[in-house]
Amino acid sequence: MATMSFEEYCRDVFDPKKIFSKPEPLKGYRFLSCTQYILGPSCANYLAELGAEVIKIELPRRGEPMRHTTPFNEPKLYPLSKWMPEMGTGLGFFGANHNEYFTAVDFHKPEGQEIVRMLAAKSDGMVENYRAGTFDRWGIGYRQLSQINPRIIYQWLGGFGGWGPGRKRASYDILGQAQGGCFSVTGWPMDKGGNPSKQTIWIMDYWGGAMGALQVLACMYWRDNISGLGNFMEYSQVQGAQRHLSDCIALYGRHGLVPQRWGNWDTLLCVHGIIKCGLSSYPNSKNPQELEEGYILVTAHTDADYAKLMKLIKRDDLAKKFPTHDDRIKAENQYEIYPAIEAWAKDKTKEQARDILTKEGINNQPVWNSKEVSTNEHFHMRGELEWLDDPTFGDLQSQGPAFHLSETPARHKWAFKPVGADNEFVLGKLCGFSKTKMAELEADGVI
Amino acid sequence: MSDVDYKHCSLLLECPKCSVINYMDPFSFWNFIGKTKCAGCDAIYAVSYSNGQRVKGPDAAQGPPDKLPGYAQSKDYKTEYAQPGKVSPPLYARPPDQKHGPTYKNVRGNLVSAGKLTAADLVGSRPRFIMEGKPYEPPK
Amino acid sequence: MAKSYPVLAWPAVPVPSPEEVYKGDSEKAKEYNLWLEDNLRQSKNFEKPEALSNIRVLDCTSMMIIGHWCSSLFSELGAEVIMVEPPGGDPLRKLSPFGRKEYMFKDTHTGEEVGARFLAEARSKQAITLDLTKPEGREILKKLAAHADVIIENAPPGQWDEWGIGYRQLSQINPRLVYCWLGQLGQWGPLKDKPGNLDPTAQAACGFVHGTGAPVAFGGTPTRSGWWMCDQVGGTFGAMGIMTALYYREKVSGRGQFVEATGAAGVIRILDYNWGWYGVDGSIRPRYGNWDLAINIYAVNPCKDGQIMVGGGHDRLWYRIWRTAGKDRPEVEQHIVEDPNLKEVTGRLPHYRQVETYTTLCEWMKDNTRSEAENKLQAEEVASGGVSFIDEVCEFPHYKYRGHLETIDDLNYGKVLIGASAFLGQRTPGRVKWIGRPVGHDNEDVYRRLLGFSKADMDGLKKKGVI
Repeated sequence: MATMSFEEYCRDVFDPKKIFSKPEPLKGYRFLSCTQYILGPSCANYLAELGAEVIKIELPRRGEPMRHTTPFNEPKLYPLSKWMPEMGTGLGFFGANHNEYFTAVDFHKPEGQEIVRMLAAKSDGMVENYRAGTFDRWGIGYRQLSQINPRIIYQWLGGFGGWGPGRKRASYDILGQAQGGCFSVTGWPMDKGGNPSKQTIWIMDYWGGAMGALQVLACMYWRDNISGLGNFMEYSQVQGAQRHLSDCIALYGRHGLVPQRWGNWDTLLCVHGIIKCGLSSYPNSKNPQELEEGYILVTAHTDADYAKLMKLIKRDDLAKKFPTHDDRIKAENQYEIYPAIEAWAKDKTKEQARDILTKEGINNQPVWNSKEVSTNEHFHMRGELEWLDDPTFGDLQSQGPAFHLSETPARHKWAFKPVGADNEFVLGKLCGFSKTKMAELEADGVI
Repeated sequence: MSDVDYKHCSLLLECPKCSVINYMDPFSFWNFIGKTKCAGCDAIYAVSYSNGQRVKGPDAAQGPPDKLPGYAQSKDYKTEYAQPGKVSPPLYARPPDQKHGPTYKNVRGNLVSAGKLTAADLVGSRPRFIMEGKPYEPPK
Repeated sequence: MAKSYPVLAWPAVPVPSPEEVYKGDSEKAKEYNLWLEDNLRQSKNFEKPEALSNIRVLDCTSMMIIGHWCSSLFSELGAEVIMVEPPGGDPLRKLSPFGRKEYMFKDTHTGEEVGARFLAEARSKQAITLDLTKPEGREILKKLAAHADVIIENAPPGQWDEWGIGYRQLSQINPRLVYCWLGQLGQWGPLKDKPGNLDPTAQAACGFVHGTGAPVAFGGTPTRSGWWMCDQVGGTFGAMGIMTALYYREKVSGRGQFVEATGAAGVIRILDYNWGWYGVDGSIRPRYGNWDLAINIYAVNPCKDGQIMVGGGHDRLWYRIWRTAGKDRPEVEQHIVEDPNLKEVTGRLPHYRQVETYTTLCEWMKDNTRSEAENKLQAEEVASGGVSFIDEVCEFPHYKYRGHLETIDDLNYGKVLIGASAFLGQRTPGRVKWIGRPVGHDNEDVYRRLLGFSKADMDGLKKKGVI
């Protein structure tokens, strides 16, 4: 260990192939996930990656709505359930449901609510993202469950939260982005007629779920090491946006500034922007998408790097004109510098640009599409992308866990399962239901 | 025949010559001054849009269009005008001739359950062919 | 000389009172909401314990925001966080939008300036200086490591290991230490970070930039996020990894471990269906601007005074959206409702159907401001919301009422408006105690308290440039 090179040492301690030989950090903990779409499910999912037994409770038959969401309505994994093999689950469901046990319970019905209470009595926590007050009305909110189980950690996630002027508003991820301010700073400058842009990921949802999971872990830490008490937490998506943009908020509060969009350049550093290369990297591709020209991030904000870059693109005049960073960072000067770099890149692919820049020691990163990322050995080697041998659906490329731990790493055991696939396991084992009872409940539509 | 009245519409541009409805999508035409081409009859028009309002046109014009409509269809909802060279291209995730269909082998040639199944294909909740590890033959 | 405008104190519009907010709701209806308020209002934060009050974090990161973001999450939850900066401070302190010095924040005692991006993530942290390029500095770090639960660093891959203060070495000194490296692409692997890699390197490498922005069909280009988004997402996952390690240490092993998180890994994790889709049939996820590949209607589109998000993928909401539009423009509703190509929910997803849908929707929206459209849609229970600018965000009644924004009256920096801690909770809510500290402000306190340095010790080290 001590004598290996650092690279070898890291490859060893973080080796994705060794993950399953290492303990799971949350072994022995159980959470209920009464969630739909992405915000709630992803929170529970991060806990499942760490080894907690997470039981996902969906409505019977069709399951939760995210199963029916997939790009172009095309890629789906079959069967949706053993009752509906001709239907599939869309890939919208894919990113937020790994490792979980799937049971179908209709919690609109009193028998269904009773099942949730039975499960909650045996669980460490509940994650839910139904409209605030719904579970309370059904007798399975925090106030009721904490009576049964004082140690329960109850994480509610939602759009606007359960109190305040907006408490009745439904929300979606990009609504959170829009109302929270994220759109106003991403995209193309307004004064040049440019449009705002959403973040391509459902950041308010997935990252919001991560914040929720982090808070659950902190509350578990407090419960198990200090207090013995459960906890109730509320996370609202829109607040996430304000948290992201805290520096913009400070500037508004002190100076009345309203930040604007700045395209692919940076407001704090120059040169540190994404420029267009003139050529496509795959001019003969049959996929029209690959015919688009390439883009590359160029970073050269120190005086020395900037001078080197200007020399490379044969614009020493711009090096002389903007010798300090304070010169370069000015908005009007950025409008001179970046077009000059783009003029240099006009006859190059992004790979050619990358090679020349790297040779000169100038920091750069080509903009990659999902195929280029999938086929790059770096991410698969590190386990950040993985080929998952899913027991139900076969060979799937999946995102890997988002962080690495040397002793107790997170891991993906399976992608997800059909609706109600684990009814027997969850209801039989945990609730002690007999086969007859389950058949009755199924006939009544409770499960 | 539909009696929807497009005369007061701005972004839904009814061609004065052939009555095909050209969809001036908000990405391209929200603030636009220039020429476009009717997808129904290839007539060239000069139009001016400001903040989504059509403030001028369609006026007959000459020369190649600056932008094509995002989409076009007839008043009775026929979609044949959405062709290359008539409207903006669609999105492509794959080559155009790689149509989507049931898939039982993935991009690296391994078994994947991305196609419809029948009850007979299942063991419990799991596809039989995945469990057994052998290629799937859909029923004819 | 540009005209300067008086800056209104925040809030420019008073925060609504509870009576105003709950007007018209029956006792039964608002009972749960008020119970939530009673348990979650931040005004009671300081009466409640902190979840992580016995944890000490050393944040030794610089020049990226990923480390400071990560340690902010810990400081909000009660951990003691000490920022260890090179003498002269983290270079990030000096950055200000477009280099404008007038937008910096001045320390009220020394006049030292700091930029907003750094200050926003300096919350509740102490600031000491230490030069790790000097061997004597590294010896001091080893001593500090004995007192730390968590160390976070983002030096170039292998740098700390080479200096004898990597995980391999520090874990010998303090086996309970949780050591976290944060960066853009990784500290190992073919693409491991080169010195100087900064957000948006991770954004470009993970597929995010390619997928954001208007589609090729409409002349759009790949677009980066307007802020250092990969740093913030990666930093959150780093915090999750650290928190997991701390939890496992207390519960089971009594030992720390090595944690690594990157901006790229964090965003790859949440890039949704990109990877599964490619795996199934080689599809490359196209960017789709402000529209969605999987749901129609679910998009942001222009309207009279800006842009507005409207959502409603199911039939029930679909028809309500058109009913709303139809009240002003009957031909718009009639067109959509009649078109046989739009009858099936799944039939609305192909690109040309979306062009048809949104162009028709914009036909109605172009005559409505954001708030007009929102009100009309909300009357039909359709979720919608305008794209808000920061001033609108800061004055939004809901956020003000809920304390998403708060003014901290800081001893060093005066009144600063910030995005408050997002960790609302009944028993152990997150909170912000102070805004930040100038460079080396806490040298005296930390070095004396943790390492027993005398004044003479510290003066000597200062002379040598070690602190």
